[in-house]
Amino acid sequence: MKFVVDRDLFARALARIQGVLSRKSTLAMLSNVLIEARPDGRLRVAATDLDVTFDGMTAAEIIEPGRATVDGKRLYDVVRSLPGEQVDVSVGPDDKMLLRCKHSEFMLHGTPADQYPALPATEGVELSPISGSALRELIERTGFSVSTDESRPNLNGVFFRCVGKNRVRMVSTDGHRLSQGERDAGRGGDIAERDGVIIPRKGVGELKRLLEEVGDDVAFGITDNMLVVGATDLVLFVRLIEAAFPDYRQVIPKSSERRAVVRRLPFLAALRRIGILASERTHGVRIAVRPGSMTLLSDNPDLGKAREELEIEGFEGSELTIAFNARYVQEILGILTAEKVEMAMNEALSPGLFREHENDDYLFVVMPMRI
Amino acid sequence: MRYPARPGQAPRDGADKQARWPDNPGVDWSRVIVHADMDAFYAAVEVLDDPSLRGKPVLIGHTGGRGVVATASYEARRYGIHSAMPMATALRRCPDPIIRPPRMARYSEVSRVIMGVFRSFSPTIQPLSIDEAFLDCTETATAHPGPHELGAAIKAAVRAATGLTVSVGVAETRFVAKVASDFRKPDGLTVVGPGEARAFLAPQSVSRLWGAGPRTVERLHALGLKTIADVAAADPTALAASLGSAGRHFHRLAHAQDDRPVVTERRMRSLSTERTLAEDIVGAEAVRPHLERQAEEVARRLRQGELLAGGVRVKLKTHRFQVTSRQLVLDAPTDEAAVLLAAAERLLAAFELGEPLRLVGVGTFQLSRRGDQAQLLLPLEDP
Repeated sequence: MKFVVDRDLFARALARIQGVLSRKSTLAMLSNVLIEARPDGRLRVAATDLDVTFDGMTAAEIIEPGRATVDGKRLYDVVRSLPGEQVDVSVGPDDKMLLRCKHSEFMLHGTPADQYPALPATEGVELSPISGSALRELIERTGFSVSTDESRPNLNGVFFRCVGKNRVRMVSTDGHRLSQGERDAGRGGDIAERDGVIIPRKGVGELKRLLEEVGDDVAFGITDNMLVVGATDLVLFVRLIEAAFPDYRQVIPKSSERRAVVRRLPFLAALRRIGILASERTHGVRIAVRPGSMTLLSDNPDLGKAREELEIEGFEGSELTIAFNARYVQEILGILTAEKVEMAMNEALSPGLFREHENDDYLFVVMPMRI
Repeated sequence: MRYPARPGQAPRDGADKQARWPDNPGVDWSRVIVHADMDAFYAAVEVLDDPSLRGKPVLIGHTGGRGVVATASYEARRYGIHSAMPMATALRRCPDPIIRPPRMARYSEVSRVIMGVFRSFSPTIQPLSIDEAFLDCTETATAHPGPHELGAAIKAAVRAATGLTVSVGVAETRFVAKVASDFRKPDGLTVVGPGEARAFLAPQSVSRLWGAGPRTVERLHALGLKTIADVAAADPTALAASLGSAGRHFHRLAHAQDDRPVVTERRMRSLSTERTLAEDIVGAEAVRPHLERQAEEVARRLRQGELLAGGVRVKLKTHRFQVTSRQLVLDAPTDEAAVLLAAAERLLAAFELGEPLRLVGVGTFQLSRRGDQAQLLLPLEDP
């Protein structure tokens, strides 16, 4: 195999697959990248950890087609540090990869390419255009509450389903809080499974990275166990979590006895301040709401106390004191963009509901703390 | 002598706490820091419980292929044996030692008695491990005629309560106290008073510097610095150039400057156990008994500390030294072995267990005190 490639293009293609490279796996091959110089004059740079696969094409001058695999992180580190604009790459029958650029020369030990796991293919997958920006916003606003508890695999990803014509929903929960978002997503929205699928955390992260790179024009499909997202010269495959998502709708409060409308940024700033004296471990902050105002309180026996009064724009119901992990509420307020947010509560130990004022696309449920 | 507070400046709380000994009122100690370190602790406890071991080379540790010496009695140390030495090496040096497996529960029991004795000398104690602690006696010291008497009283009290010997260093800083306790081990007592610290440290090897591991010692040697006096005389910028911010730290220590306080209670963040196995094991069935034993030990230590664990972690190391770990957050914090074990077994199922394993560990994190704040859970039901 032999090709000449622009250093920046090659580095970008290698940067893209870094998140997929597996360092912890017992299969050493999974820390490698697959490089294929194709007879059609394109260079394929792909990697898989068996769950997530990035498969990309880059322009290159192919002198002799072939396939090779080498350590993906090392190759990326080498390529991005090279001094010139063009890189000459060749791999001999001994699997050694030689890179030449200006006066630099590198040799990387490779592994026979036929030992690299077979990559999934897009053949037979029905792909439809979907709004990349809608998907990206949904991920940004719901992806943060995915559980990292490995014993609950059905919570280790974002739940994704179609909820009507072209409209998609994403939900995630870690057992303490839950985020749900809905957006019109274009024709591809209909492809989303009506029953829903779970996209694992790592796949969601890679999908976000792809959407950031390619913008709005993406094609989208779901096979029985794989999410496929394609853009020009780039395809991402994500193996879905084969488990049933819990019935999240039952934990979303249907009605609320108390409802407060608060200006978002002052609320966020006050939580940050009061949170300084919250317990370092639980971040518990008490919120007392009443008509016209609310009070944030933290009380840490080791450190001291803090309190702040905030104006409430609208309030329905009677006075209540409830405690939340300040970090959870801060995260929500930090993700939203509206000027005002709505906080709905029933009792001190029942879930609280947060959303943008007069925007029902997103809602966030947070379980309170017992203090 | 004592300096009065400057006019117009109120004495800060704690700034006026120097100690003046009844026997020597002319010398003020800015602080009285004691470092107390038990002598060959595990071995000494074994001798205490079985007096027939007295005067013999005793090694505490496991004898399997990978066992290391946890503690060697002073008789065994004469053969050049030290702790952390592979048991196989120790056996080559001393052909016929008495080897006992560690009995951690018993050592913890004795440790609690010792820490109780320390606490009777000062409420401000900072245990560094099972068998050593710092005591800040600044406010309680003057109950004793002088620093030697204070040190001797601590040694006598430990011996009376346990029958064991402890080496004690008394100084104005933690660092000097620690070097002093090691100065005449075993059963030593070394007092380094105000103005004596630099002369005391000067001839000591640079390896005594706190935080100087083998690589740092090599670098110091490469700079031509063998003793603490050399480091004290060295150019601090040259030290920093070679050792970074640690260089400044060592320079300060060499000048006996160490104002770090004795910290009474460090909030524990995690609590764990791990065992390197005598022989590699393969498969979940073989791992399970180790999880069980370790879950029990962790639960016992949680209960001792009146702590609850919010999460459980399992760590495995393969025969090729690859370490992997898996963790989960519990529905409710616990100190029960059965709950920890059930979680550990669930985690075990998430490992690829193809390779032989040489180490198994069970850990807990998100520790909380009983009665702390509690995050409630969403009532999610799996379908």
